Amino acid sequence: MLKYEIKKYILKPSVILCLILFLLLNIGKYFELFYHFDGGRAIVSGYTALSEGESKLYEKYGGLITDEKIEMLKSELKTAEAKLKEYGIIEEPMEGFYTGYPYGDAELFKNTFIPAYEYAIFYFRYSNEISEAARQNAVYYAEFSDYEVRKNTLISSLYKNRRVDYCVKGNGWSAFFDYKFSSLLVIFLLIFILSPLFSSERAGGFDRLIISSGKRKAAIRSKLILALLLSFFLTIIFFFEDMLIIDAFSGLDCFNAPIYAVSEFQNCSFDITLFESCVVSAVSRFIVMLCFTSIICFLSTFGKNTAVSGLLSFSVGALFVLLSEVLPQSLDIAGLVYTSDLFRGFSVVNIFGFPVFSVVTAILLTLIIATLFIIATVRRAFR
Amino acid sequence: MTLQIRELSKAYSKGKKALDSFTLTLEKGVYGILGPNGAGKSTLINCITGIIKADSGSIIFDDNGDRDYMKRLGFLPQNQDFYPNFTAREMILYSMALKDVKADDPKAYADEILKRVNLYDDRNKKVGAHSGGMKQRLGIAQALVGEPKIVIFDEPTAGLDPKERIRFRNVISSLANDKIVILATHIVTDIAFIAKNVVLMDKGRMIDCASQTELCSNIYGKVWETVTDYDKGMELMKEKRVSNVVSEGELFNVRVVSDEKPTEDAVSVQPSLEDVCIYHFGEIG
Repeated sequence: MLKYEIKKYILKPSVILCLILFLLLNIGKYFELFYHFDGGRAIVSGYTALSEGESKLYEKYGGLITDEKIEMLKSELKTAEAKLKEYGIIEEPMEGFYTGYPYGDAELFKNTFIPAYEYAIFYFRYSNEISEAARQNAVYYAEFSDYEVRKNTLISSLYKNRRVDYCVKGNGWSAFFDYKFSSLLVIFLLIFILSPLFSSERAGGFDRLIISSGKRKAAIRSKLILALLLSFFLTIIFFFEDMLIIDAFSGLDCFNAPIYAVSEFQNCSFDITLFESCVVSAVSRFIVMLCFTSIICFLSTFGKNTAVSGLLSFSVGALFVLLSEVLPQSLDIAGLVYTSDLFRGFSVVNIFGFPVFSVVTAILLTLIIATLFIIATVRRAFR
Repeated sequence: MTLQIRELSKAYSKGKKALDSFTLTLEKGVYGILGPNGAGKSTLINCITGIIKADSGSIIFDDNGDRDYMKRLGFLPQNQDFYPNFTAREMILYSMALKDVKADDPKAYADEILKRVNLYDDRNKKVGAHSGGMKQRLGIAQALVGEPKIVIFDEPTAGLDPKERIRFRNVISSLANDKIVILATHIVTDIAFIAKNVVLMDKGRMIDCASQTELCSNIYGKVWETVTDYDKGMELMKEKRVSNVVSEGELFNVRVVSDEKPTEDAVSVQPSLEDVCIYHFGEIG
């Protein structure tokens, strides 16, 4: 049955064309973010000799930090400063410099690579300070609040003895976890493909054939499996496209490094690698899409008009986005799509006196909503 | 093989009874269901096919101990559309999946079904490119998947041209040997050609179920033809149940269904199935 459902709703020229267009649009969107246009010519935003030099230096100093690299960096910094004194500010690029300019090289060492190395080296101390402060808080709260004790104990254990041994090109990762345009495209595609899931059957009178065949439940099951697989594959396809585009434009490296190796995520609650963060991000996006898919399926069981069910689904999607602005992270379903918030700080919610990560409650809430809508769909469809 | 419909009742939200203790026993053969709009034909079909649940009553099937008629049911709903991006063969294969029909070579099985409705040559053509008649034949084909014992056609010839209608009648007639075929239609001539038995229903109840010959003989002596001028013809049309008017120059040959002789010079004629409908319902179908 499933292969016929795929044939009905996915293997259609309009759907395939739309998917290709949306994949291209996603590339176009990131292209627009990365470039600006000057007289019809695409120019990298902020592109200077500095960024070219930065790339060269990342090849040399990025990745695992070793004593050898530290010594070399110190030495190169001294050399760069000496050359800056020697040549001063020059207008034409010269050979022998990463950026082509002595000032550019000195700037890169002082403001990018030295701070990046310092961040990595001192992060151990920084995280232990947080851990110790939390431990002291736990002692302080012992007489007042069990919840605060548990929360601070959790913080203390999570941040204790964290180490950063990597110099990571952070702006690519920040952009990746912050990028939400592709999720919007996935939602549009889900609405476009799944809105007719039940309504078109009713419009064409197929519901009568399905009911009279005695295979109502099997038909609903195959449709829901199709919806589930579709939301999974669309999420994965666009997720990997995001990765490929952002890697091509900004660079995604050091998958083995902890997520807090990116300074923007220094306070991340989770002690996970960047690779594991990608998995969390993909799963989180998929759960949101699953929830949204269940709502689209449910709305499709009303009436014969696909446009109406599509419009209703779109309205619900818009509502989730609007609610995202006001709801706390623990209840924010749409917020699970852009995971940078998830990784940026420590956020827990008090559940019966126990600290539970906000993301966990948001995921649970999303799964509960998805389950309820799936049950409602099964009960309503083909009636 | 029998299909017994016992005391079947169904009322809708406004309290109107669409089926009112409808009782009927069907055996092998073609049954035509006739009744005016709102007689309950569609409700009856929807109850038999499981699309709606009856409030009370039962439907009992017996074919040498086999009692699950839903597995032996073929159905062509009214105004049935098909997936435009499916080919005729894919549509039959989908019906096989839907009805859980297993075959060693599913494509060969589907092709055999399509041959029966003369769609084999178009088996790989997308349904979206089919004519109305081809779609209707495809509808019949999908109803025949799984060799059903009971086949129900709801308004099957609506929108078909005369040639397609004849083709449809021939297909139905070829099915009648070992099946219960139920045909609900407004087109009396379709039933007149292919249904051995006719079920008359009105207001959710069965009025009569008999062969066409019996139904016609029941009103023998109540169908008249008279030749009149325009004024008298108009008067008859207002006062009597007129089943047909044929213009013959300045005069009109008027066919009247009436217990009494409508005019002095009226002559009794052989009743037709249309006359039976006019007699019972005041309208055809």
